[in-house]
Amino acid sequence: MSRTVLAVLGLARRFGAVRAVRDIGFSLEGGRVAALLGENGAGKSTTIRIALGFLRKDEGEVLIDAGTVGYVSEQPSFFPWARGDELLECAALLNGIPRDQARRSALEWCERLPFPPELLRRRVSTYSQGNRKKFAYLQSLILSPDLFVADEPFSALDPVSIRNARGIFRELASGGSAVLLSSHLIGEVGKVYDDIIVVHRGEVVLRERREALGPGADLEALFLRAIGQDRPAPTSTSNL
Amino acid sequence: MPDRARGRLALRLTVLKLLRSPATLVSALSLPALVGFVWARESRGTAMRIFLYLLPHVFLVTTQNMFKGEAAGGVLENVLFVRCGFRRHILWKNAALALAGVAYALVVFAAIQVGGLGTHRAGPADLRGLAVSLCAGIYYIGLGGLLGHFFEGGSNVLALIVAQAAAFVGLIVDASGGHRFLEALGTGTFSGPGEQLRFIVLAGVLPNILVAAYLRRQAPWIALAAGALFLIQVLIVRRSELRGR
Repeated sequence: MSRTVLAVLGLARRFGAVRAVRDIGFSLEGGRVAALLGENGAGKSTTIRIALGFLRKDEGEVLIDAGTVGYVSEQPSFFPWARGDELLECAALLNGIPRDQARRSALEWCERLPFPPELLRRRVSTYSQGNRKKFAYLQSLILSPDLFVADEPFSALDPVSIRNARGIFRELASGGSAVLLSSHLIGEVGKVYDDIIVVHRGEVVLRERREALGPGADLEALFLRAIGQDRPAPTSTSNL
Repeated sequence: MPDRARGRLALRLTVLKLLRSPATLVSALSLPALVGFVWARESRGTAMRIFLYLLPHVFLVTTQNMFKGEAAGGVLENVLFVRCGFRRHILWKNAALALAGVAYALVVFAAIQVGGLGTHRAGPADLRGLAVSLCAGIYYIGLGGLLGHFFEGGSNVLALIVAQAAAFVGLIVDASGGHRFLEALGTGTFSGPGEQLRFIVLAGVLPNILVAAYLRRQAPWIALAAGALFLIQVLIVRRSELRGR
């Protein structure tokens, strides 16, 4: 059995009168890709942001057993005055990666994503939204993270980059990393997931391994059933 | 990860930001230009006094847009700052600003000393003045940093400059009303708790006044106040979080 890289235990957080998450618990193993699914406002992003230390928690515990952590936020934002290569150097510096090694690794990942390497000499704030997202990937991937977390990993990406990103997630997992993807795009995460965690109204309502679901499991149907929306979608009617 | 790496990262990011901040560059370049101008027109001694008196304001300008704006703008929700790294980054940034300010001050001070080698030598008075000026500068980083957690952009600096303008007006009104505080300020001798309190408030808003030779003995208090301001920042930052845009 693989080691547990991330364990979230009984996580709870309120924002004023709103209970954003309550008693959230799950764990991620190295070598697996977990899909964190939920409706808008279900508590997925809050869970991720608490787990990574950006938000405080009211209750619960987060245990991370990873040397390096990669993170891609839903809408990555960067220092407006910083160039891409400078921010990559900063990530390498912080994690004790030699500059040359980081540069070589960055060029390799640029080809894989794909991301135009000449953009690295420009300020990240001048990039398109899609390239900003890809740059956030680049910043994390050069670290060879033991834990990789992405909030809406496919948003702002073109179809080629989405396909490549899926390949990268599988590659990270086969290298022993734990990957957590929070997404609305069930079709896309359905092509890559090993574990499914469904959050509904701030609580985990389904947590299952792909092996247990059997081959050809319909992830969308599973998700809708888990959140109590498995009735047929209403169709438009006209009385005119 | 070692905190030393976090400190180096904060220093690198802070220096890059300062070098690309027009306001910081203008203030950092204006001071030597003014010092040179005064030296040419007046004397080296006057130029040195101007330098020591205005140097703390360069420190103050560096604190603009360093804290709340970054936290609110989402740039700290980055892989560089996971696992609560943003909190340590914010605290290290104070040290990075102080270090950058001290390095700048030493370069300009050395240039003034080298420029005056033919006629003057660095005396203990100059060095004492520099030490007090640096204390005042570091106090500004503490105060500007603290205000920077509440005011976005350069509003923290602006708020302090407005307070300084108000203090000046207060001094003028005080003097025209026949009170002796301005005289006491000129001699550094304050009689009674009223005058002492007014001096503390004035030095708290405008610590540059401590550079005056007869007020320098009060400088340790401003160093202590800088430490207290930093501790308050530690308390604020420990409770801080990134709520997103």
